[in-house]
Amino acid sequence: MNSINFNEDQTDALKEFMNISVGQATSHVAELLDAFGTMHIPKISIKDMSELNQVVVENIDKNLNYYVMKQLFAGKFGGECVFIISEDSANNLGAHLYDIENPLEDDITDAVMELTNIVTSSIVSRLTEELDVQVQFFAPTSKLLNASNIIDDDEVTSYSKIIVVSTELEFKDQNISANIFILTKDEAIISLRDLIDKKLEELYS
Amino acid sequence: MKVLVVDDSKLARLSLIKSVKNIEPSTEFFEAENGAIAVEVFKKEKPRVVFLDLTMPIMDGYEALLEIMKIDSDAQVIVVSADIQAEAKQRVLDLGAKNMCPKPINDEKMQNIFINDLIV
Repeated sequence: MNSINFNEDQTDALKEFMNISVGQATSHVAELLDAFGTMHIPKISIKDMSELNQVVVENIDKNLNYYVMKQLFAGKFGGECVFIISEDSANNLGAHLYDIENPLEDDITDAVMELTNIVTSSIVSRLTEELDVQVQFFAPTSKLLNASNIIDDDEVTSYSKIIVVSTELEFKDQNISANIFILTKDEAIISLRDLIDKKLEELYS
Repeated sequence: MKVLVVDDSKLARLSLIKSVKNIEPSTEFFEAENGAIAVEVFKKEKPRVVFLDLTMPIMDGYEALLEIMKIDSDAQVIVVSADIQAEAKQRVLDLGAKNMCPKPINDEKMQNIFINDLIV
């Protein structure tokens, strides 16, 4: 049993805030790609940090390589946004954006970074707007990794509990899909829960 | 007036009901947490207005809208969704929705819906 828990109303509220945030991100990416994106219902769970790798692997193909972008944000609601896109999807993204059949490695990385930047900033900014808080973004990092190496050991030992908010960004016609995980840990989870309670109190008043 | 509010989020349903109540306090509300339940409630209660989310489990808003319009082509359906893509809006308008409003709903948006989109 986790010592940090969200009740049903708190989970529902976070899911709804996340849904609104992903909606904004999807719209921005749709503009970038000039395409229509399918929205998916966000999944929310509180896990031990040691379970994170399992959560990530459940949502991706273990046999593929992935571009993994990580961006930290800090403030009253702090955490990390992890954007995961398969090599194939990244190739399709590069080809679509640069309108060429075989994009160069640099072009693909550039396209993925641009997409990540739009997605993470849209999601986190909208989420924090819903929660009435400000956050500071840090520069994102980018790596091409095998599915089994996405979460490294340093991260696993850094924190105890995490809240994992995950969803999928899917552009079917372009064969582009990606997974997004928002990780918030320890004190930030309590802070997040307090912010949600405040919003719920306003609504019920 | 009967109003059906369809959303998998309790928070979203509550926010929407609160906004409608501020305009029409005597409204009778029915709630559904997915499109399949919404279609059944629509058949039974014949609400004057339906507020419909798009991204829901079991049956999404697009399919529910299609089913509702088959039952009553004059149904007044307002889609309230986090999906703010222009194509999403065009799709629901093509299916017969009166309008599409981006989440989160608030009193001002609801006022505009009642003024511009609904016959109540």
